[in-house]
This record gives sequence, C-alpha cells and structure tokens, in this order.
Amino acid sequence: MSGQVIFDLQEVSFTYPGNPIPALKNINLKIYKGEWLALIGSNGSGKSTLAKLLNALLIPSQGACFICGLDSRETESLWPIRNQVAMVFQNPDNQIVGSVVEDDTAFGPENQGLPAPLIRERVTWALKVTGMDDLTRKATYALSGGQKQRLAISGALAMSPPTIVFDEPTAMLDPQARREIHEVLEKLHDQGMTIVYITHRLEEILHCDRAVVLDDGLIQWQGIPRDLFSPNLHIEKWGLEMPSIVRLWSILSNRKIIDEHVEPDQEGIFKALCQYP
Amino acid sequence: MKFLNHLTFGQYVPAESLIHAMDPRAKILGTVSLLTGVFLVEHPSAFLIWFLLLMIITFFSKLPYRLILGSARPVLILVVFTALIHVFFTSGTPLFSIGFLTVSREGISMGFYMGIRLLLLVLFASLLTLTTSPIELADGLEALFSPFKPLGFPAHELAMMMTIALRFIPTLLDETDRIMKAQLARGADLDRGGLIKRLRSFIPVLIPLFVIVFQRADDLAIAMESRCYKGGKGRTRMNPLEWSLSDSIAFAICLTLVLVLSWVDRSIW
Amino acid sequence: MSISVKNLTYVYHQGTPLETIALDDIELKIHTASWLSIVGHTGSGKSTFAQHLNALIFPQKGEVEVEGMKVGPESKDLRNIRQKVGLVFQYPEQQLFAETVYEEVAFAPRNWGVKDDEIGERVEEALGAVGLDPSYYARNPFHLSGGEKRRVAIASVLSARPLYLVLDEPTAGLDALGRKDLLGLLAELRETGMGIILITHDLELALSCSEQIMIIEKGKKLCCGTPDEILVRLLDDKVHGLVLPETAMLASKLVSEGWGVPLTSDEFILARSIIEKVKS
Repeated sequence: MSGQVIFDLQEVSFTYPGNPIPALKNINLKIYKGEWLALIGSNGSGKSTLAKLLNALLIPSQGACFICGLDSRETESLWPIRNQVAMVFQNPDNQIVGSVVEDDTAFGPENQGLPAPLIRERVTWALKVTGMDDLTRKATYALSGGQKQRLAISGALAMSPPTIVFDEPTAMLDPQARREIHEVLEKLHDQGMTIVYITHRLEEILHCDRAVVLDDGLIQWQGIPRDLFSPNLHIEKWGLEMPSIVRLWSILSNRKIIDEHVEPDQEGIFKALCQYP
Repeated sequence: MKFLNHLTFGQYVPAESLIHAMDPRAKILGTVSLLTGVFLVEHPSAFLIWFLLLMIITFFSKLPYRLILGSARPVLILVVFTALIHVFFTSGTPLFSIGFLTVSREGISMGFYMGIRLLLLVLFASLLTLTTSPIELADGLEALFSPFKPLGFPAHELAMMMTIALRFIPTLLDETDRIMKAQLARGADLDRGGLIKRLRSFIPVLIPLFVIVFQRADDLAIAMESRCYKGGKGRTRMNPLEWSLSDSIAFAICLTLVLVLSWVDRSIW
Repeated sequence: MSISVKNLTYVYHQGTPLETIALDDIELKIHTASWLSIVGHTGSGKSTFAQHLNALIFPQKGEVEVEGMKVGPESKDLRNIRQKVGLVFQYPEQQLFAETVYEEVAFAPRNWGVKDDEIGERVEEALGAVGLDPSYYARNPFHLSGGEKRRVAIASVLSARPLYLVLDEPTAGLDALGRKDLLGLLAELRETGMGIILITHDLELALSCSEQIMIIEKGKKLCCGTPDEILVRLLDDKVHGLVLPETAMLASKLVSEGWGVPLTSDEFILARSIIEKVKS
C-alpha cells in the first residue's frame, strides 16, 4: 500500500435540502491507494451519504472533498472523477441498463468514448474477473441476485477505474450470493484496486485493511478491523452487532482461555483450543 | 409472470444467421418498406408474394417457423376483431343481415384482406424484433434519426428510453405480480365488479407500482451518472453499425419488390 | 387448529422447455402458537410454498388444508383462508398505497367485512402490536422512515387478526437493531397464540429463534425438526446454498477432536461449555 492519497475529506459536512439535521458533520478522512477500507455504520449513520461524496454524486455543504487531487466542488472535475472512481450500489436491478450481459457491461466504456476494440477487450476482461464470462449473451433480467451484482461490478470494472466504492452491495443478497461477491472483492484487492466498502455487517470486514465507524454523522472510531471487536469499545452503542463467532472469541479471550492475538474466526479459535490436551 | 419466457412477441432470440448479422438499419428500413407495400398494394395475389417472402426470410433467419407464426398468437384476437369491424361496417352490396348489422360483399372482402394485412404486419415486425437485439434496434433507430438531430430531434434520448424500457418490462411485470399478490393477501378484490369498481380496486396496485418506478428512475439516473453517462455526445459503441454490400442488396430487393408490385398493381391489376 | 400439507407438488410452466419443479411432495403440519422457520436458498421453492398457505397459489398435486378448509379452485372458502393466514411479503413497505397510516391499516379489515365501528379498534390493536401509537394515524405512510414503513406494512396484515402469520424474509434490509426489534415483535405475537411461519435463507437467523425448522432444497423437504436436530443433520451432510454458522462449525470440529461440547450455534452455550472443559 503506497502512501498516495486517493480521497481527502477536509472538515466535510453535508445536509440534505429541507432537513434541519446534518447527515455528516466535520468529517476528516484520508483514504490511500490500494487500501481496502470498510466504512461501517447502522442505518441512518450517514455512510451512504459519505459514499456519494466520494464520487461527486453529492458535493459537501461545507468543507472540501479532494478525489485524486481534484476538488469535487468544481464542475470540470466531475468527468475526471467519475473516470477514476466507479460505484456499485445496493439494488442490483436499479443499476442495470442493458438487456444483455455484455451490452450492459459495455455501457460505461461506451460513455467514456473508447474505440470499439478496446471496449470489447475491457468487457471480456471484466466479465472474466467476476466469473460471468460464460453468461455474456444472457438476458439480464434472468440473472440471480448475486449474478446481477457481479454484472454491476463488471460494469464498473470495464471503465478501468483504480478505485471502486461499494455501497452495501450485499444488503439485498442471500448468503451464497454474498460469498460470490466477496470472492470477487478479494481478487480485486489482490490486483491492487483501492476499495471503499460500506456495510453494517461486521462479518464482512475481517479482510479489510482499515475500518472506520460512522454514527450520527460523525466518525466515531477508526483502526484495524480486529481492534473493533475489543470488548471495551461497546460497539452496540453505534447500532452495531458483533458476529457470534467474534463474541465467542471475545468471551474466551477475556477468560484467558485463548490468547487475544488469536484470529477471531473459526480456524483461529480451533487452532488455539487444540493446544489443550 | 415468468410465462414471458416463452412468449415470442417482441422478444429477441439470438442465432448465427444471415438475417441476424444484417445491419439493423437495413432491417428496419427493409421492414418499413415491406409494410408500406403490404398496405399499399391492393391486388390479392400480392399477399401470396408477401407470405412467400416471409417464409424465405424466416428460412434465412434459422429460426423455427413455429416461432415466427406463434408470435401472432397474442394479437390474433385484435386481428379478428378489426376484420369483423370491417365486415360489419363497410357499405356496399348487401349479402345478408344479422340483427341490425348488415354484411356486404365488400365488407367480407375488406375484412378478410385487412385481417391478412394486420397479420403480415405483426409477423414482419416480429421477424425484426426476433432477429435484432434491443441494443441493435436502439442503435439502428438512433442512427436512422440522427440526420434530424441538428433540427432538435432527440434521437439519442429516444433510443436510450427505448433500451431502458425494454430492459425493464420483464422486471416490472414481475413486480406487478408481486404487488397484486400482496394486496390479494390483504383481501383486495381485483376481479369482481363493474368497470369503475375494478379500476378503483386497482389503486392499491397502481400506486405502489408508481412509487417503485419513480424510485427506480432516481436510482438508475444516479447509477448512469456514476457510469460516466452524459448524453449521446461522444458516445461510442462496442458493436458499431457497419453497413455492408449485403445490406444494400437486401434493402434494394425489398424496395424494388414494393415499387414493382405497386406499379403492376396500378397499371395492370 | 392447524394447517395440514400433504404430498404438495407444484411445477411451473409444465410441458414447456422452462418446466421447473418448485415443490415436490411436501408433507407438513403447522399449528398455532408455534414458530416454524422454512429455510432454503433462493429458488428452493420456499416462496411458492408460502403462497400456497394463504391460497394465492393452488396445489397441482396433493393438498393443503387450512383449519379444515381446502385450498383449491373449487373451494368456496378462499377468502376465509386468506383472512386466517396473513402473508407479509419481502420488503412489505413496497405495498403501501394509502394517504394515511390509518387507512393503510384499515384496508385489510375493511376488505374482510369488519364493521366500521370495530375498525378503529383493529387499527389501534395492530399498530400497538408493532409499537406505533395513535399519533401515527394521520401521518402519510410515504413520509415515514424505512423502519416505520415496515412496521406499518406488518400492522396492515395484523389488522385482519390472522391465526397464522407467514413472513417472507422479514429481516431483509434491516440492520442489527431493526432485526432485534422485528424478532421481538414476532416473539410477542407467538406468545399471544399466533402461528409464526418464517421463510428465510438465513440459517443462523432461523436457528436462533425458531421452535421448528424445515429445510427445503430443490422443492423437496430435506428435514424437519428442532434447531438442534437440524444442526446435527446439516453438519453431517452439507446442503447446497446454506451457510452453516461458524460457531456451529467450530463446535462440530471440537466434537470430532473429542471435546464433549454441544453441537450448537449459540455462542454463549458453546463458550460456557468450552470454559468448563478447559477448567477441568
């Protein structure tokens, strides 16, 4: 992870028109190239608002948001920003424009005005990365929820952005589909993509490099995901729930049954317990 | 409403055929000229030629005849209804009467031929949509209308609207089904009563649908913006339209056929 | 008082190339004052099953009887069945249409012929059950928060005073707090004697709150039993598309290593047992 700053939010506040209460207050946040950042919060914490600020779908009411050095408040920055930061949203259906898988994937690069052979290359590559390459001519409405979301990711990838922001991409999916999406994300992370992942489910953030907790429009905490599970934090006050395996880990490490440096997952706990005869 | 899967009217069925490979502009122009011919040429023998042409094109499309002919099924009622209107309301030498309706010889002839014409209309249009993917159709229409863009005609916007509409038809049908079921589960009575009562009982289905559609439009606009959409200017295509010699020949054949038959129709028949 | 399902079979698009078996010979009995969860991945047939219970779909083979009334096209009791078995669809807030919360919740009892003077009582009762007070009556349902909308939608099914409540993925889109509230509401309804039938793909959810669980796969009933029994069965033989809770998988691994811990997905029970074993 190099030190290059992709997102630089400086004293950012945002209030929706007609709302007396700000959705975000004085946010200061830097996100670095190659990082997989988890942005966590319960419903109403402001996380979706923050996501939209990251690719200039919204502009700060106060403060400034710099994306790859570009000020999102300037209109001439919009186009370069959107070419650098792609976004995948929660509702799989409401992102799909084309009737056929590869036609929809081509939508982004076509908008970017790329020559036909390059578009074809990008589309083929993007569909391969998401594992959709055997479905290129399939009708989009006939896809499963997980496949639709993978299509949305293909559409984002085909624009060849160095950064993708995921706004609760698994919220409407079943556990199997959620796993499909995670596999794709891990692949992208390995390839050096900068990922901002928004969710309220803590079991999804264990592979992230850094976690930021939002509540009531403010950044409440940041650090490595593991540290979020420390019992002193009382994350329930932010509307968050510890996954049950992590709660088990927490109880066992508190009672010194296992060392606190053990991974808070099934394998880690099992290995630690195996030391007992 | 998963029955949509095997309804062929308007649906695209991919295949590797001469017809599928044609430039959509040629197919659209060809279809329009053939349909003009169908309604312009009066002599009945022309219909045999149209049907023969339909069979020939179907052969080259590598799609089963059953599929093409089956596409007329949903509109058969409309065709018969229109034919009957002509049968009963065309004035001429009366043949017999049923109640207050008089059937004339001209009526029967009119009804029959109008019915055939409508059938041909549906079949040729189906051939077009069965062999041309939605995006090709939209691109083809946009390209054909683009000379009118400088005059203010929103060719790209209309094509984009068409693409999005086609993409969402099955989704919306599924949602309508779901909402109807939800309201039925709450005791709504959706199929009893006179016209007014039935329309009113559909409000609990229509309002939620409208809300869903507007929310979707909002979400989709945001998603399209994120995908760098900024209108038609500067947009390229993964599969750009390429007009080839075979397209010219195909269109020329259709046009010639129509012109020849019209001329023959006027002078000899 | 029960719903009885015998040899239930349902096939979509029979005779066409798109033929899909949604339900295959399902046998089940559901009682009031109970909590049954039906677990299966998307496409397993669980939504089709749910719609048979309130006569939105009719069996092609086999039979479904609700309180002795048969579900079928010849049945004269269809409306009666639909009143007795309330069905809450996924994302129920999408079915809201009225101008006020009152009208929305009054819709169902009005359709079932409840007299005007009783409607007020029903609305108050239903909204009270979901934790909304009369100050909500005149409010526009479309101006409520997501959580409030969902509660109004559930109230609009409860106002029919059904004996059974079938809910299709009721926790979809809810965060931790929302989920806790909803499960609390369902537990309260169960206490008042309602038969709760929860349809979900979330096995962990089902294990944490149900009295009985039925696993459905490709339209077939795989197994039915208490959460503990189901866990044992699933640890033995993994089912496609169902994700086993990590705690249960850990328990299973420990058991195979000779630890005498219970096979459970409950982290507190498992922790206590592990601590005991280690201390000894």
